[in-house]
Amino acid sequence: MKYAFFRGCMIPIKLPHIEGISRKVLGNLGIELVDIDAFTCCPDPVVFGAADRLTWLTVAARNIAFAEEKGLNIITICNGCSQTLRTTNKTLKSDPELKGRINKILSEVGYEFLGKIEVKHFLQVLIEDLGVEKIKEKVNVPLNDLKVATHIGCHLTNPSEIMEFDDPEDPIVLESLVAALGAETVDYDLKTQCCGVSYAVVGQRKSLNMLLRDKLTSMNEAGAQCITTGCPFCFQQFDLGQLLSAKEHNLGFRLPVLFYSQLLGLAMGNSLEEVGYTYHKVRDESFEKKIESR
Amino acid sequence: MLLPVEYKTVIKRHPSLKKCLKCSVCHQNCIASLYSGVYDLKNIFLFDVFTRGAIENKNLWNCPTCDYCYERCPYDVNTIEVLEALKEEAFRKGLAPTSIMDQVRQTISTGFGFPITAYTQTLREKLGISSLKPEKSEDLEKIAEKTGLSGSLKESKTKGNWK
Repeated sequence: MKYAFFRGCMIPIKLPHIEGISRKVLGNLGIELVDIDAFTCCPDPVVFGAADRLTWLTVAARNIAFAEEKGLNIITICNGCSQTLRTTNKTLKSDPELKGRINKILSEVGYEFLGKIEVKHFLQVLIEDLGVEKIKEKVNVPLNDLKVATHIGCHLTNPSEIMEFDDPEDPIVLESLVAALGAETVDYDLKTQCCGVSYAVVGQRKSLNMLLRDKLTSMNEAGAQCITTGCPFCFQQFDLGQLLSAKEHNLGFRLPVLFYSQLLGLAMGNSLEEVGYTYHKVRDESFEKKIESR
Repeated sequence: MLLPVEYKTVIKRHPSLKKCLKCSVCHQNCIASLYSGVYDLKNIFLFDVFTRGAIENKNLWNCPTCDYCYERCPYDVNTIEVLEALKEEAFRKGLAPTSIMDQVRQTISTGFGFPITAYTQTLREKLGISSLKPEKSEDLEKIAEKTGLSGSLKESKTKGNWK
């Protein structure tokens, strides 16, 4: 199983420990990641995609063209990258006029979008291409009795006609991937509510702190001991964002967040340090004891 | 109710809005509605954005394009299409927040959405993963010239947008 590895910007720049562990666990599952140096920012769908749609689609089409040259499908480790590249891929494949217009611009820099490959988020690859059973085979130290709140992240399921993944109203994919590691998932009220990334972008800290207070409290009241997600933007909200929200609202709990590849790494037998947990802003002693005592 | 001029303009460009009965279903999971601090069920985010100020409305940018309003609308109003069109127009006229302008500029000039710091490189080295190569991205600058984005970015410099 071989993919062009689209690591994005957020993870390599702000959360490199997640890039490290993602490379390690995906490799361990037999997924070969091919690096393409020419890849640029996807670009981001929330900021860039809203600001200038034509340029957004063109830059994304250029990225897809690099993977097409190698004859490889793309694997991403970010919801934003997935949404941008999947939207571009699907839109241009079904709209020859727009494809022609974008290819005319791309020809100026020497590329062409052909529409020959597919784009998948790593959670999609794990569930659709690899299968839960293959993951279970690699679990050496199961995460028994660990209660996890899952957050799939809006941009991986919506808009459903583009993303064609999971159920936006009742997401269950991450649940089954967590169950494969031996852990339990908790059902919480605000499960489908956005992490609040837009407030972070425009610096509306008060609104963001309130939103995170409600979302994290909902997870905590459902009995969660940690959170998992497959999106670095959501990860950052629940880690750094939690720290800031807890200060303003005196949250009486700490809920560490683990990127799904980190959780997978722990179940494969890596230590907290090896999966990069020591770089996290929000750490919790009882969670650490639970992991270390397995 | 007499509708403001903006609403008429917006509805003309996006006729799917005519189907909106203001049932507020879109409001239920909308973080821009629930946490901006100025909305309630009678005055929901979408209606406010579509009627008051539209592109000048700062709350427009509180929308994370999570798509739940569109996913849930019982009348298939394409709210996201309208929101994105309004954001794009605001951006082109230099009315987007500075942080949005900066991130777009950063992406075009370096190929990365965020600046690469010395600490990032140190951390990557410590983790045993290759360092990042920040390069001037001539391809992206050429693309931005062709699409007209470069013009919008120059325009915004002279406007003094909000923070």
